Amino acid sequence: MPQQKTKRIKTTVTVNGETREVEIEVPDIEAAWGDPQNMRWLGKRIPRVEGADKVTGRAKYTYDIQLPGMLYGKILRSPYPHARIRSIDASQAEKLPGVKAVITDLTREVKYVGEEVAAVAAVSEQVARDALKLIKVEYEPLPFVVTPETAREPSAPRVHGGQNVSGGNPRERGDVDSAFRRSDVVVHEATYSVPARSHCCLEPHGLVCQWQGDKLIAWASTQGIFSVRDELAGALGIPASNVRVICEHMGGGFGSKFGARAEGVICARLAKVAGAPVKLMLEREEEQLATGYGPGVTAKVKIAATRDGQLIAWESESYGSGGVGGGSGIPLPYIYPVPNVRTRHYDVATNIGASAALRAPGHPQASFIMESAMDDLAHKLGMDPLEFRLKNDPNPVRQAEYRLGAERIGWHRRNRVAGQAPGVVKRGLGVASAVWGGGGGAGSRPTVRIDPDGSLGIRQYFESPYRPGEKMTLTEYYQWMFEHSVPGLPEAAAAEGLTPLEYMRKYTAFEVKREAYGDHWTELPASELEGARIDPVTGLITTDRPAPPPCEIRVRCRRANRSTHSRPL
Amino acid sequence: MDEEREKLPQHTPEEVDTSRRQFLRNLGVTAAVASLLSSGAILEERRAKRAQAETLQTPPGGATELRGTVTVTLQVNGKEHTLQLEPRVTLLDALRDHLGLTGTKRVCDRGSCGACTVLLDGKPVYSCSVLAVDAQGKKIETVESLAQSEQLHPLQQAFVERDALMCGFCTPGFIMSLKALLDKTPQPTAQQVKEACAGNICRCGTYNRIFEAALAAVQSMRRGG
Repeated sequence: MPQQKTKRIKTTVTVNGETREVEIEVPDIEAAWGDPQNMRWLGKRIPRVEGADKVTGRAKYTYDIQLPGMLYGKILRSPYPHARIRSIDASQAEKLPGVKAVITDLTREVKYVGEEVAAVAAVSEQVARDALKLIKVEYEPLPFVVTPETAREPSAPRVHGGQNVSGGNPRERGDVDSAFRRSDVVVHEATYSVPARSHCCLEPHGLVCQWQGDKLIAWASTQGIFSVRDELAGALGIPASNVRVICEHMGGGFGSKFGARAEGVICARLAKVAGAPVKLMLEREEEQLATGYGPGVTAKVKIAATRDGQLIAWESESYGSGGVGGGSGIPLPYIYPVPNVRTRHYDVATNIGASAALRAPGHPQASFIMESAMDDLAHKLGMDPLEFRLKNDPNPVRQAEYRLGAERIGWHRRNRVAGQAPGVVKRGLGVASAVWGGGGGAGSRPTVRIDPDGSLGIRQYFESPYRPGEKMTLTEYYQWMFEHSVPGLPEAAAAEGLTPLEYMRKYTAFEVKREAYGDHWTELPASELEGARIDPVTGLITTDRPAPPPCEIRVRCRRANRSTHSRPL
Repeated sequence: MDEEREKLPQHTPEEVDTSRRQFLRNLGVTAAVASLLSSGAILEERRAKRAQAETLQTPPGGATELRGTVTVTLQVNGKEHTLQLEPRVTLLDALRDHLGLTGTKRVCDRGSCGACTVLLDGKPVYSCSVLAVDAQGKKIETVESLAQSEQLHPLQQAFVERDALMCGFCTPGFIMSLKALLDKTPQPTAQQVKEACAGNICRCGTYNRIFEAALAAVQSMRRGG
């Protein structure tokens, strides 16, 4: 075999969180994808693994879960955008045959139409609906505000008690004012608005909750089984290890299905009260009122480019509303680099349900606003909108995409002057971009195999202790751990005729030692207790003395490069 | 827009009183008295079927209020099922909650999305807008009836091969709408395929693949004879 040509390159190496620049020797070859015809997976049609289950109706979504003795949950929601709840009388609902659980302690003040007030579980959906009608709620309506425009006025009713408007800190770079004053620029000013948009997941939000003793199994229509688990555990005051969340298939989430949310906690509580599994799937109206939306945003924009079409300045003042939540911020200016920028964004609270992440939060709004301004400015400049973008977007991938897209859709067919086509109904071609996340940062990521021949002794850590010479499986890893490193576990398991692994699969937890935190108790020195007050009821010690210096833990890390994802280095 | 959709041939099974307008009319009254009201000759026909229903009162105008449960016999996928149901239970809920046929999906529960489409005597209907009691004596086909053990129906096969689905929640409804089309029109045009799907909504946006899959299924069915 001929000696392979090599070259030396500089790259960064991260070991245990520390990043260094090193010089390494690599084969001197041109890296390339190779012939697409010879790819095993890329460019090939791979059937969706769950395809057959979904087309036959066999796939079980959360909505399809049926358990023996399962009840149906329903939520009574506020008809007022803001009200104090004077009283709730659910006695009639409780008496209705078939009603197994009623909850009325959800809130004393509602802040939007659709907020959860009470809930029931009954033997059928029909009975549950009937029961809701029997719950008498006495509301004291309070002042409210539902549009961001009115909510911004100083006299507007306060949604949360404090100011309705937050944010508004200017973000500035370059010299915006002088850029706009330059004689060789064309300036465009306009206000653009994007309405709020609903997720409209076809499968509504909801869960099926079943208790087994103090353990909860929740089937949830969710994008995040672990966040649902943690949220349920927190809200119910039980360890996360007692909650198991299952989602085999989900009928759409679009960013709105990351938490257990109010209905999740209500479902679990109803199941607990009723002593039976409960299915609580929201109805379409509830989906619209209480499960979020992408916030609407309005932006007053001023944009300028030199006469030959180079973007030079951007100024925007925007506001949006996430209802009783927040998070209407958007990335402006978008896509195109502008040297002189000043932006301000305000979040406005209103008496509307909270918004939720929706397909690249903030980006569709930013894209619409930026690209609208770009089109209008191109028109003023007398420039082709595509040419204007090619001139202002340095991204090499999008440069290629613009050209490819233009060719594929026949950009040349476009009327040079808008509205020139005959007839009342006009058709047009347009161009706009959006970006979102995406994996990978700068450069490629090699995988380095260390110790393939076992000479460094690393191999033993990956070798199965049960099958010599074979790679350890995850199950074997835990099996070994449970058998050898948990004091008392093998004995406790043997007492039940189980292996330690079987024991852990059954109980999921093993108490090694009770009140282990006691091991870490240390007496406070008298000097720190000097002048301290001790609350006789809680035992809480309060002192005016400055806190002792923190312990000596230093974290060393350095950021190696910028990428679209922040990741620990 | 609702009016327009109602005009579409595939979702107006006029023989049964399951047109949406008629259903909503029924529903309005149902909601008012928390039971089912009906009228005229249809009532006469139904009365025999509902012998077991408890007749509480006969308001002026000849309508009868029914309460409690009624015995409902449904012919689903070639099998006869007898159920005890409240008269207000929809065909959709009877299929899903009482027969365990959860392939038919509940999405809007108000006759506008098509996810609950089943065939009633070969015609596609929104099963959320048909009362179970009104589906008696009709041949009901759900998505579960299409595949023969592991052998997918050509439509299902084409949906998988063309990846005509993402979340899949609308898929059974689309497949049933298209099944109705192909049963009646084995060689549909692309336009007919689109029209057959006009009463179905996909939120993930897989329409183009669905149309492609339907036409691919037509090809494979022609080849397969």
